[in-house]
Amino acid sequence: MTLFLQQLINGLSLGAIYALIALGYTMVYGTLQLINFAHSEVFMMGAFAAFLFAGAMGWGDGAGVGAAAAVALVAMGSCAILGMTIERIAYRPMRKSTRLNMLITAIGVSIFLQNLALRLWGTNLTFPDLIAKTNWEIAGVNVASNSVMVLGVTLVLMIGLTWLIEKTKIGLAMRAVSHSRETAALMGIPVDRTISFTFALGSALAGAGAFLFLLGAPKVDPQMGAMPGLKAFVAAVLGGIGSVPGAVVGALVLGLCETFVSGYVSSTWRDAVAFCVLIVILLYKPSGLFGKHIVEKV
Amino acid sequence: MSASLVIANLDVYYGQIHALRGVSIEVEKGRVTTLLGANGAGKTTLLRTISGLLSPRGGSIRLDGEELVGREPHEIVRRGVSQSPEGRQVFPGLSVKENLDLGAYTRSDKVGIKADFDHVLTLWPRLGERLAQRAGTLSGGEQQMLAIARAMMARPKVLLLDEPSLGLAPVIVAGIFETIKAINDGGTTVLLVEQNAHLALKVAHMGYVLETGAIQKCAPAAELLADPSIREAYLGG
Repeated sequence: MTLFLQQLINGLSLGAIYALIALGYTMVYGTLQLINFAHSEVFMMGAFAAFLFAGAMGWGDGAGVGAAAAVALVAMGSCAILGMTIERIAYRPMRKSTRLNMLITAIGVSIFLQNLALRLWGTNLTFPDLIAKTNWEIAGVNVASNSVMVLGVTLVLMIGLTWLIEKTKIGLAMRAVSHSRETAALMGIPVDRTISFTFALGSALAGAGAFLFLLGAPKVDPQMGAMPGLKAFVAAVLGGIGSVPGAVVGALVLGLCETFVSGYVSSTWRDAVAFCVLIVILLYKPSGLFGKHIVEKV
Repeated sequence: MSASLVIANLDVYYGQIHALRGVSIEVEKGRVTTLLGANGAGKTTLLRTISGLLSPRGGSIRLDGEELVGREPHEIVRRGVSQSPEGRQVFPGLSVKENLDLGAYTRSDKVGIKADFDHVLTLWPRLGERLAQRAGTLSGGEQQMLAIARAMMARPKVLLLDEPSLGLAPVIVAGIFETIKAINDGGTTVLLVEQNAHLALKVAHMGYVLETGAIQKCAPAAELLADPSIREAYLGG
């Protein structure tokens, strides 16, 4: 039972980080039908932004919650700007071309960003423990302050995102654009600006994910986005790519799968499980758990 | 009568295909102008060009003297031309209310939006009963009503309607044409594209006939209704 609860907490906090990244994949897919393979590099750049900003401010171990919050906001903001820039420079000129061309462009951007980070900042840097770590022992279960923070921040961001999408004018515009860019334009929605905003939003969430990721695994590296990015992509497909609640559910399920497999079977199998999930879902339910199925009336 | 929308010498190409050849149309203020033509004549192409979804290679489209060619679709809506597109194109996953809200996207006058919202619900009480329902669950006729109501929410100077009768039962079509008349009586200028020439000419003041991308005829609607060649080609003899 203790092991179960332990893995449950670990799984949820891992899943929460996947969810923050997966939302970017799913929102961009929803609007452009593009799998933005550069998204994992946006995540990586978020980690570098956090690292560089903390360094520039001279913040090290135990700098405190205020400093951590500032670093998180800088990571989110930098990612938002980077996401919009990528869309403007790389994807917008390709919008009228085939999906394959866009996919190749995305892979190109991904390779470019990895190498840019490698050239500028190098590898394997250590991110400071901005907030002193605490562990609470609750009924034999070890609860790390990191996990609590990851879950708390993610929850707040999810509520904020849901409110934005469901209740605001820009959220309604995003939903309209994801249904049909052309009809959205006929409503008077500035489609380019809305797509740009979607990239900013998804990228900012990846920035938050990067910051939270560093709390648990404080290594900053140009390659660091690859694995979490790929897992988040699996999560988005599992939930039904294009679906916002799907991405969150898919990410939590994947996080739990991984930690339960490492807890009860072997940690060497955790990555394999994620990709087995991808294969199974593609074989048996390619539209995912919350996949869209639209019937058009004639 | 002054013209609200003046289209002059419009040339539109799809790649090598010359889809509209020097089309000139005047849509008079406060009236219903209809554009008739067979499938593939270029009717939808014209409406898409007016709305800015297609760029013409030549010619001009002026709204009260202001050039619309070269403007983005959302700017054209803001200037007062909204469209109920071919095939209705309601947002199936969004509620009826949200579809109507999107129609008013360019506006920020809350009081006016509320007034227009109430107005379209008096024109189509059925929509009022289904505000929370997803638009995709509506019947074809209800979706057509929603598409027109949504375009009306922009409070357009000129309303473009693309084949509102398409695929609908005659009794429903009759209802839709009555509302088109009511909308026009309320002061909105209408450009109506139709295959159902008989109904279109009955609500319209002026009619244009488009054939393979060029205007063949232009006359008051009553005249076209009586024209033997029109009767033969579009009214079933």
